[in-house]
Amino acid sequence: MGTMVNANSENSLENGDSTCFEFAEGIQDIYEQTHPYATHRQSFNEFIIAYDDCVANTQIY
Amino acid sequence: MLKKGIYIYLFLSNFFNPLFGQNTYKALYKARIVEINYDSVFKVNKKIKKHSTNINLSYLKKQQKLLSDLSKKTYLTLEYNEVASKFYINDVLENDGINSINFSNRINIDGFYFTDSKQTLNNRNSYGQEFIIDFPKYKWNIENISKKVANYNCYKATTIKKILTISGIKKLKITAWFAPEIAFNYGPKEYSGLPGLILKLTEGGVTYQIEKIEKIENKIINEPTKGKKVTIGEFEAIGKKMYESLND
Repeated sequence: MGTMVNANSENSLENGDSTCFEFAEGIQDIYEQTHPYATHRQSFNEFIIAYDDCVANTQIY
Repeated sequence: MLKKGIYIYLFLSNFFNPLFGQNTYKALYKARIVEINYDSVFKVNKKIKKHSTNINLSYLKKQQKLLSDLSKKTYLTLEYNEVASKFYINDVLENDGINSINFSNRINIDGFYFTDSKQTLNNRNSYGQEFIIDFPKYKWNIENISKKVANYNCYKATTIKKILTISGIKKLKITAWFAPEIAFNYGPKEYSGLPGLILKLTEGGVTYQIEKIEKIENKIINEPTKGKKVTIGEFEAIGKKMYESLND
């Protein structure tokens, strides 16, 4: 389920589902609002995790 | 004659072993992540309101439950002796797929932390590359406040950690409870340098608390050698670049 959270995940975004991209952006935004000490790396990873989860679990949409 | 030779060999090999006469211990911690009341946050926070769909809410609640379950069954291990310490998440997480990555990201622990008298290093794989992150030593403020943690008498100490967050550099207060009767100056993650083992530590929304300490077979705790050596500032700058490339 999902892929490893690293630079390679960026490649999957190019061919990814725009709905999942928007979903992940929203989850990332909520994470940033609720975690005031979040680093860029953590926020980046939150996006990738939500995106991968969305792509792997179509029941999200 | 052979028996005598073996005894001499054992004596000499132990004599030249840096762990001669020392014990190695394993301290097991659990991490508790502060839970967020998403129902309330969705109602109050105006910026979040634009994302306040039922899908997002149920996803976040489900994620929070998974992370909570994972934190209850996952040990974080600190191995230590008089020479060095090593802190890491137990392998059990590998079986939990993306949830383990999420857990690791939330508590901000990846790879392992190595501490000796000279330095604290974190060996981790990020962005498809091995890194050895060099942390600065923290200056602790020890307070005359004590409490029992796991039946040990502990004293409170605080320090300030500077973090490059998504909204600029912020100062985060770190609170540690250390036990002077356990005369090792180690603790979870990069936190060390107190006159006793850190048994409880709060870093933002995450609290690490000791569950048990076991004596294990003597071992040499090796310093990481593979990876690009960077300071924490340089590592955070790489993260910023990756983050900005995502938003371009």
